[in-house]
Amino acid sequence: MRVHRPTSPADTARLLAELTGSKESVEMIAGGSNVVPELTRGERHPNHLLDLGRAGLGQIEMNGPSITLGALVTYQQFLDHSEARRAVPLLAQLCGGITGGIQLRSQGTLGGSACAARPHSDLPSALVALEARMRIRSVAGIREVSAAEFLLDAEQAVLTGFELLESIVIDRPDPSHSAVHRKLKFAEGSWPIMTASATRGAHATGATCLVLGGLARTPWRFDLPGPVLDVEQCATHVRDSVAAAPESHLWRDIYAGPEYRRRVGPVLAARALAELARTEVSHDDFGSTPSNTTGGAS
Amino acid sequence: MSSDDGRVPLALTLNGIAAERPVDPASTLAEALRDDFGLSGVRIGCANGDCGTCTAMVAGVPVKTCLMLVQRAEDATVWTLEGIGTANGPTAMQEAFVAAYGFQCGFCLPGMIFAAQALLDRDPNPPDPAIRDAVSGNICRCTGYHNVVVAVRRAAGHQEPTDELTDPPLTAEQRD
Repeated sequence: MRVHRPTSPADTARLLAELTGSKESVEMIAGGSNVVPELTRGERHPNHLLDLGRAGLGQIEMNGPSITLGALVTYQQFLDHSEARRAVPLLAQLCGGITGGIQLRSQGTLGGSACAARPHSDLPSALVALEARMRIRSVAGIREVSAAEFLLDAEQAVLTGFELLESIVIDRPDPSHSAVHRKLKFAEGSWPIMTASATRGAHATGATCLVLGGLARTPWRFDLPGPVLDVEQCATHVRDSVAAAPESHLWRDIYAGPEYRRRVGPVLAARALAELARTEVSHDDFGSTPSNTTGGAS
Repeated sequence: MSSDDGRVPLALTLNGIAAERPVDPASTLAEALRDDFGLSGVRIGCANGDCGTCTAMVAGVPVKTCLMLVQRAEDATVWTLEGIGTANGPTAMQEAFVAAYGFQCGFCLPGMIFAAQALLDRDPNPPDPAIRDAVSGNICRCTGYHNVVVAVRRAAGHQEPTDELTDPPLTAEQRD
């Protein structure tokens, strides 16, 4: 296994094209929290490792109406950027609640999590709720897709073998918007079972958007009637939609099966919506103390 | 440039001293610190990024070294348990853990010390929820965590608990 350390996004794309063209297997490492343990356990045996640690993908750029987050921006890095944190409180809540303590927040990356596309992880529902755009690079150039398109399937991003995720672009939500990120997990140290990302007034329509992660194979978006948030009405809409979904549509993994998710999804949604209704977000108030975890529901 | 066995030189500042060793570029920093640099203050408990006993400070940031490819530490300043205090000259945090019975077997201790110190470096007077959050990436099988929190409070210079419930208890309706 050979380790390569590209020094720029273009260098990375060139290497990817060269190595995948040779038909040898390639793995990319961002923060390492997903891939490195699998390498250690011998579950992956790539011919080549692309270590993205110095590939120039770690910047946060405030570009007027949008914010560009390099793929290797860590959760803690986002929290430490006061302007970005204030502009996107949903993401700030998420980053502050990442499991694994200050170490994982300092090592885990937004791009790595997006590319892993694990249904139950924190980021996917938030990316869809924020209508993030994913900027993808290859030797052919840059293309952009929506977060919903990027998260093609459970544990499958839309990247081809010679593409890398370069950055995540988020249009600044309206400063007066409200946002809540909550998750269900069974213990402090465990992965989430499901996540709920809810916003109100973030987008031009002013409507309420709720996205559940870990309920289905990809984030499930509910655009709820508005502009006045009727929690009961919205929760009923979510419950009815989830009840009607075929079991094959729902996610299953070692943490929970589809029927459990069908039962708790609407509960998590209702709690997130209730909190959204009463929240007036202080855009300054996100440090490392998590406040977004719902304990295990029976 | 690599040697015939594929090992490459890794130079870093380790516990305040410039150091260089040949390492396997596919190894983790945890493995290299133990096997190539001879330090046991970094421990490998899970190799999965869960237990936190592999924590060291790399470029001023506490990291789980079992998740870091070794060359990410190239030219970095790295501190392990060996570098931050001695039996005769412990740091304030180490003294606090001793005084508060914040450990038993000691296996989790390096990670706890670094995670807690990283918190105090950011927030010298943290409330209890922040303390619990800071060490939430470190698993302890002995203490039940309470004395870990007491130790960090002690190191921060206050003794009284500062509990703030951030989630209200569930109502009977919510529990159904």
